[in-house]
Amino acid sequence: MSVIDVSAWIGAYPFRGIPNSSLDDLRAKMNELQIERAIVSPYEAIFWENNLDAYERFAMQLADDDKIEVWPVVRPGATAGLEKLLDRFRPRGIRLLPNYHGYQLSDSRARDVLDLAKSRNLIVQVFQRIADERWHYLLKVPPVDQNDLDYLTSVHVDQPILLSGLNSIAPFASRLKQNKNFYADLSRIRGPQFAIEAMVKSLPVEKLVFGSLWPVQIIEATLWQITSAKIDESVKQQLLGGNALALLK
Amino acid sequence: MNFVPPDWPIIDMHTHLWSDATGLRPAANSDVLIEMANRFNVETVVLIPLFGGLCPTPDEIAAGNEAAHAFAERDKRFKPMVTVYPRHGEFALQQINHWMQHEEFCALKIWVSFADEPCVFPLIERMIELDKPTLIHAMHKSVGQLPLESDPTHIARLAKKYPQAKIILPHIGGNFYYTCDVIADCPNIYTDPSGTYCETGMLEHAVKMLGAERILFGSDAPGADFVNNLAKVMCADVSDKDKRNILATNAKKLWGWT
Repeated sequence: MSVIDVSAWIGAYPFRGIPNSSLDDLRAKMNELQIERAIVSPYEAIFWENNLDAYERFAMQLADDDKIEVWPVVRPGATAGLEKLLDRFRPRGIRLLPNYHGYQLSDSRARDVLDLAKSRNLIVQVFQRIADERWHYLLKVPPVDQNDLDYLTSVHVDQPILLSGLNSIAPFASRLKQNKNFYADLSRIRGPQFAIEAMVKSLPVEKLVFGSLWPVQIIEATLWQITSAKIDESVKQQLLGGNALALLK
Repeated sequence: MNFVPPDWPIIDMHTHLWSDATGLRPAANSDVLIEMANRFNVETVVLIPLFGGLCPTPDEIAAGNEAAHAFAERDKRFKPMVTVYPRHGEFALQQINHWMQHEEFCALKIWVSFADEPCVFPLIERMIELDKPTLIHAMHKSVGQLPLESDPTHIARLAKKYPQAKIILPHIGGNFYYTCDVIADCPNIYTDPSGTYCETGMLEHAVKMLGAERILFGSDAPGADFVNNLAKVMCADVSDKDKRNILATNAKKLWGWT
């Protein structure tokens, strides 16, 4: 089975030391778990003021890696040099974290970024969270508001959008069904019991993709929920990599 | 990539029997726990009734304990905790005295309450007499506490006041760095990693700070997924011996189950 992790991270997580979280550790984990491809961004691309420099460093480091793809984290209003980097590294998408960067997706500067992404046919990946806000002590970051995500998926309907870090995908069921460009990852699904089996029945399965939020989270925690689920093998393949492949093509 | 269940005994010491919207009857999907135990070959499942939400009435508490008893009579793998709400006063003690006479009941669960309030003391003293553990919900959160919700420091104060009590602080208290610091010098406090997202390094840190023998395995099912929680143990960078102890041996020792 082809496994694609759409929501991994690399670099130094600023709030705690995470064991076994180097680039080599990611490669080893991908080999162990037969993950063929991972989309990553450096944590530094969230937290550095010169966050595009952080992207550039990692993108250069991984330029010849055919399994790990680096996407920039874009901060609306701080996009000088972005287009040159997009031309140079040709990422398939960009990442937005409105909660860390203090804007709403309805803001005009966010619209500029979304328009840029659309003009370049880039996937826009929005993280509602990258870690559990209940233990986010040193910098209090609430999850992206549901209304903001509703706005995004109501207005930017022609834009390929991937929502990540959702504790529950159910509130987006209707939008996922309505919009062929809209996907959600499974990175924060931890329940209820047999959640994947229930989701396959209630959500459009072709719009769900595997993501891990590694290294903050354990990859197997999500992966094993899918591989242990009593669902059709073809559906497992869709969730693990098939749907992501369709999105990323 | 594929999930391969461990060929070791598993005791899931943290599952819930939730109520439906009435607060007086088990939720319709409660039997999912039986399917879970069957599918993953769980030897023993500790069942905690939680009826009536955050501030249950005495009727809801009684209905929950009754339903947990009925569940355990139906499937002997399930061992209930008697749940009480300490601010119910004498009623809470009556529930303990009534249900702990039944051999199926294995422990006390204290729902969201400050653990070091005087109304908790007679309940703990009774559990010491019975030589059974008490699980007290506690979390240390950056988003604020629930009304009356214990922080691990409340649990530590109780454990120091009653060093002979066997206390379980679930969820590694939320923030595992903070919690392990707070309870490191309380050898009568056990913990479980349920109720958290699967954070890398959590179990390793708990083993380092507390020792593996103070850690139990719980899933928090059916609200949480069993496999998701099992991954916390199976993927931890600790020895197989520690994993086996966490998955079952420690619980067997705590409860005296052979």
